[in-house]
Amino acid sequence: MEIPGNNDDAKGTLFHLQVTSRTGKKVKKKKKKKKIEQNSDLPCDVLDIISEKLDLDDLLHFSGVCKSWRVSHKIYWTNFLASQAPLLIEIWCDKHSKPSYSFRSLPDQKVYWWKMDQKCFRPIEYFTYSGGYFIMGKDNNSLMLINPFTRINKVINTSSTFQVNLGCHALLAFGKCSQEFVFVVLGGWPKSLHVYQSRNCGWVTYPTMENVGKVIDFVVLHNIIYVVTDKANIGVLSLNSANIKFLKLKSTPNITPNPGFKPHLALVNCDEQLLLAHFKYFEIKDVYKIDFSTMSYVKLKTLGDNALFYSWDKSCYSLSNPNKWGYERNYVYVSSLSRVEVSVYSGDDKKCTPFLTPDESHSYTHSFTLDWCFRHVRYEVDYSLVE
Amino acid sequence: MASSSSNLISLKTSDGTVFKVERALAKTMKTVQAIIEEADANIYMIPIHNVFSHHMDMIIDYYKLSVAGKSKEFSVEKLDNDELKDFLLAVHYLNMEDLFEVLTQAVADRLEKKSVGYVRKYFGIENDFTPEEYAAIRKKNDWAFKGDDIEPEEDEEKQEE
Repeated sequence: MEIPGNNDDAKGTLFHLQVTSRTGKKVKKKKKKKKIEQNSDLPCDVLDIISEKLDLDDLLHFSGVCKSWRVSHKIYWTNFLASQAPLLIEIWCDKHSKPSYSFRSLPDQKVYWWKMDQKCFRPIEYFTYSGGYFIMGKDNNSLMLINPFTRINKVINTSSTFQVNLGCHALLAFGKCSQEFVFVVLGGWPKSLHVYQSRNCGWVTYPTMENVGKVIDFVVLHNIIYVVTDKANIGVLSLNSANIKFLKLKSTPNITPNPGFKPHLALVNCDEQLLLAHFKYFEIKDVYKIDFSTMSYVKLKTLGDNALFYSWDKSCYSLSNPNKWGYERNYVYVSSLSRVEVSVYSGDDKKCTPFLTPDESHSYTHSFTLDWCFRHVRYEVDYSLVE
Repeated sequence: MASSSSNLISLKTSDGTVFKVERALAKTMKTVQAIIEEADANIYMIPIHNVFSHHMDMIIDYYKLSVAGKSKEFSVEKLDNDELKDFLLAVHYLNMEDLFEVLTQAVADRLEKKSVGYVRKYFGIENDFTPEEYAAIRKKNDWAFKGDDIEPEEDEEKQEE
């Protein structure tokens, strides 16, 4: 399982497929007695445990110590990236406005730090995390995609299409069995839907149709990109033309916008089912399942053995069998600017309780952003499936 | 639980010193515990290879502190890198969970932000990459090597044989 290299070629097909185990099972490493002798001192399992306690920067760095460290480093990363346990991305600025990034596992409070070298990448604003990459704004005219774990990065210029300084929502998907990628962005002013495809090396702006509403979120399900509008209309994003084919669904929920606020609707891929989650600020209101056999919305009474993770104005993820990872089934975890709000979904007892406040030892005075990171989620699209 | 004539277990270190330790302390050493459990009769003296008397002194210190709820006061700062490594190996051999956790964290802390050359020296590891392979790795991790806190490696590479 190769960690991809950072080769920049003219066509822009930068990303190599990063093959990870989808089952989340630990890859059994072979204990190489020969290697232990070569290292002369500490056995492999001890080195592993020490590795787990190292910072992300150091870990990456130490893969250059010797061949066997490189091997165990790869194994560590393979397991790390295949893990289904959600991480909370914390981005905060110190008094000198220097941002720091960390990944926190809430149930055990384990924190992985990432000190991004500001000299290489500046100025930068975090927008979202999708498909394994941080999506960030560089100046006003380009978006940077950077994988925090492998450091692979790519800058995509947007100047001819839209400005990025006013915030973006985005989704990154890779071509199935290819090295191409599709980058769907909601950005610019007024906010519009723009799609960059590496196979075309260019942006296409998708027009808004007033009667169906403005697209506000997207998700990949069964290798197809679905979008939802602020009027709860769901469509399929075509990759061969600037077209969205809207589905004719029954029982479409009547989403009344709060005056001054856009309704917070999010599409979720929950165990290969399409869900629509309706949030009112940081509280979950309702969750609907799109039943493709009856082509209708079905309001869910319970989330079953799933938990939802939502980041305000960003993406919504589902986690099946949440107890395994230290979370509760049928619960919704919403990250706001400074904390994670937790609420139980079903019944009238939808009380919201703050779950986590950031570590008080951070003397942050400036912006603080939280987002969810699902390491193992990697979207793939099949170009042949859409017109 | 097998009855025993005393609550003390005798442990003999590799330098020949005998330590009489409380049964409860011996229980934290899974290796020793396994030996006790496997023995048919009450074992008189348990030899612990790879463990020296100065290691046992520190182990007993840690045990006393943790029983008093002060395990956080235990420090290995006075140990140099090699001594810490040896101690870690001894504790690893004895299979003592808590102390092992403390020591691996201590080693990780000492490695934080150090250069690759430093790490190699610390563990006595040889650089078995060819110059081309190593250059390729450095290029791939280029960003990581440009960090403010990481020492430049060119000099150390020239010094290595």
